[in-house]
Amino acid sequence: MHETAIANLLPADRTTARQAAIRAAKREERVAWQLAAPAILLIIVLILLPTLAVFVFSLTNYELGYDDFQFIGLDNYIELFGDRTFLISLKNTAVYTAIVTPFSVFIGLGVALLIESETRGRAFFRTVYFLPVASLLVAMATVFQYLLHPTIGPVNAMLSMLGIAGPNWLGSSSTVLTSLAIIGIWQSVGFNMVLFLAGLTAIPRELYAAAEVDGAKGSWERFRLVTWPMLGPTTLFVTTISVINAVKVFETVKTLTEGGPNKASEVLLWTIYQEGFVYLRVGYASAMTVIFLAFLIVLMLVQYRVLDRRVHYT
Amino acid sequence: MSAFALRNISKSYGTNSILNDVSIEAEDGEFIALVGPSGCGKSTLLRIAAGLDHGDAGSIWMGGREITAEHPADRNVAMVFQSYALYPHLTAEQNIAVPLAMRTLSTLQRMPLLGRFVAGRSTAQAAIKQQVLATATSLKIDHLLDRKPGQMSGGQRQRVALARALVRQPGVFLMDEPLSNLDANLRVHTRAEIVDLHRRTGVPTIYVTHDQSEALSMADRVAVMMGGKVLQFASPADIYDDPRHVEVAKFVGSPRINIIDAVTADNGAVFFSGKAVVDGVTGPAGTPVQLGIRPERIRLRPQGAKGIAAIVTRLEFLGSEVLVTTQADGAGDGIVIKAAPADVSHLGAGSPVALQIDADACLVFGQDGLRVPLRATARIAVDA
Ligand SMILES: Nc1ncnc2c1ncn2[C@@H]1O[C@H](COP(=O)(O)OP(=O)(O)O)[C@@H](O)[C@H]1O
Ligand SMILES: [Mg+2]
Repeated sequence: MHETAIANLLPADRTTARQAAIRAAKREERVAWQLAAPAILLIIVLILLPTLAVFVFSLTNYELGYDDFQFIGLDNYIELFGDRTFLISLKNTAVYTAIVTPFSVFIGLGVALLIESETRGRAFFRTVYFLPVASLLVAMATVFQYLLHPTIGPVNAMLSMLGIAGPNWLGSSSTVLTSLAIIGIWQSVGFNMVLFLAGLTAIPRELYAAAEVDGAKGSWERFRLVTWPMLGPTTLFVTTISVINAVKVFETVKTLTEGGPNKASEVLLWTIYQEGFVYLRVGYASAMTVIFLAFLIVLMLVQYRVLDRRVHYT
Repeated sequence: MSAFALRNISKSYGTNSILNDVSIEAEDGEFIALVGPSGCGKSTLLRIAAGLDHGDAGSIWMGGREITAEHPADRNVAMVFQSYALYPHLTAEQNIAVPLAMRTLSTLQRMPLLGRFVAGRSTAQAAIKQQVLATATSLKIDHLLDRKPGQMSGGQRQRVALARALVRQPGVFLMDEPLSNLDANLRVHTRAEIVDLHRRTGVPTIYVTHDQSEALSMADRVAVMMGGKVLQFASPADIYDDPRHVEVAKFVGSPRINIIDAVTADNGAVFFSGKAVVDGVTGPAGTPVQLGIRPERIRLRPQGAKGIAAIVTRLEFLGSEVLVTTQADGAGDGIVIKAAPADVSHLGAGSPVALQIDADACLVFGQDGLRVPLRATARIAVDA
């Protein structure tokens, strides 16, 4: 009935109707641009322009304090890949990230599961585990310096009571990166836990009921059947955030080791900081920053392209 | 010995009493409907039956064996949830297979990668696949087996949920408002299908609903629950014609039963609008009672005929029948009568009529809501 009514419309009526539709669409488009304009402007000024500036700097030999500079093409990048410090720093950052990410994600998940299953003291434990996130890492670094001190530190004192000679945690090149990673895990577990707790509360209770009726008797079976798959999107997000945070490690290095001993804790941000703010080689530091950004972007793209399809089920 | 029985179940959350001494049982092959307004404790009772929750008192029996303390996985119950509760990351086929896989495959065989190398897995899996396909075919969802719940309509999801419950032979089926998320057409259709499925499998079923027409049309026996109590547990006909409690009478039947406040006179007669409509109520004269009369048990007569004088206030045409609302002296909100369209074509708002009521259509309830038994000699008092 509808179709015939439309077919019976005179051609003139149809064009009027179409023009009205076109006008409405144009008006809507104008309003959309107006509403989005402030956000677009802010993105350009605060994110895109600075990034572009860094990229332009990376093609120059600009040094802070000197008036003139030349465009030197990709020379900075060529120098970078022959720079032993930079390569060490890349490797150290990768090792640090490879330790911190899985541990902080799985410990965060474990703590969230424990807190979720506990009814009493839930708020207390949540707060305790979140404290490291809220505390100032620079201030806490002094505490770690004391804790891990080779002679007066309580960690080694305890180890020696067990008859183990503790290492010089932050002072030996074989243990320094692991020590920093432990501090990094300590700091990010709470944050991951909060994200996982939020993810857990979003799981419908009836799914667990269905799993129990279907024969999932133990908590491991319920975890496999319901919790783990339902947490997929959360886990992907937490992992992404954890990787980004680990790659950005800086405060502990700056306050505790300054990249040492013997470049054993030389990490990306520390190297960029040294080149840019100590040696004032802005152009060279910018090239490192571009590499750093590219690294993060590739990582995120891979994670989302590959995994996103596997964790969202609709 | 019943196939499945809930005996004297009580449950409270804090000081809130949710279930109060509830007993229900299902014989072999019986379809029981548990009906009541929302919030009356139906889901709570069903969760206790499944073992997902525990009562404060009472016991649960399956085929003469007490299962009160057993884990849901050991109870051999199957449940269909109102939200369907399908696993969103699994396809329909995998969803339906879960109850079988959980029971027939060992933990080792179910391991993601390792499981492949455990002996006997492939035979067991082939058997599961076969069973899933058979169940899916009987529910006409075999073409959906590769889809995930997110890619299915509500009705299709509902079928997958049914299939997951049906795929093994449980000791009892528990269904919690399985049709309430479907549109009206599909609901009536699926209603019949569930009854058919039940006939075929013969598994005792407890079916929860808040829709009285669903309960009456599907079940062998209906338990009407209100405020955590079972007010009556009887066949649909008994629930409708012989309600034990005024709340049961009000809850069952559409349009709702007419309830009229009245007082008993000498020899137990109940007066309505100045006329005795029924007698035989035991107890002293002057007792306040409630008189219940179903809309289809009142006949409309022309003005002046014997009966109770009333004025038509509204007519609602429903196709095969017409609902006539009338106002009579002492009838509070008005009396609703269900009539055939041909019989009322001459009536309009304001038409005077007479209401003819048979004594055996009168249900008398006491002040406490309980049905008042009439003496066997109760007779028609609005004389024809
Ligand atoms: N976990 C709970 N804690 C406290 N009260 C609850 C809980 N679960 C249900 N209730 C209460 O129990 C009553 C019955 O709930 P329910 O069994 O879901 O009713 P129905 O299924 O009949 O609609 C409701 O008043 C509800 O608020
Ligand atoms: Mg309910």
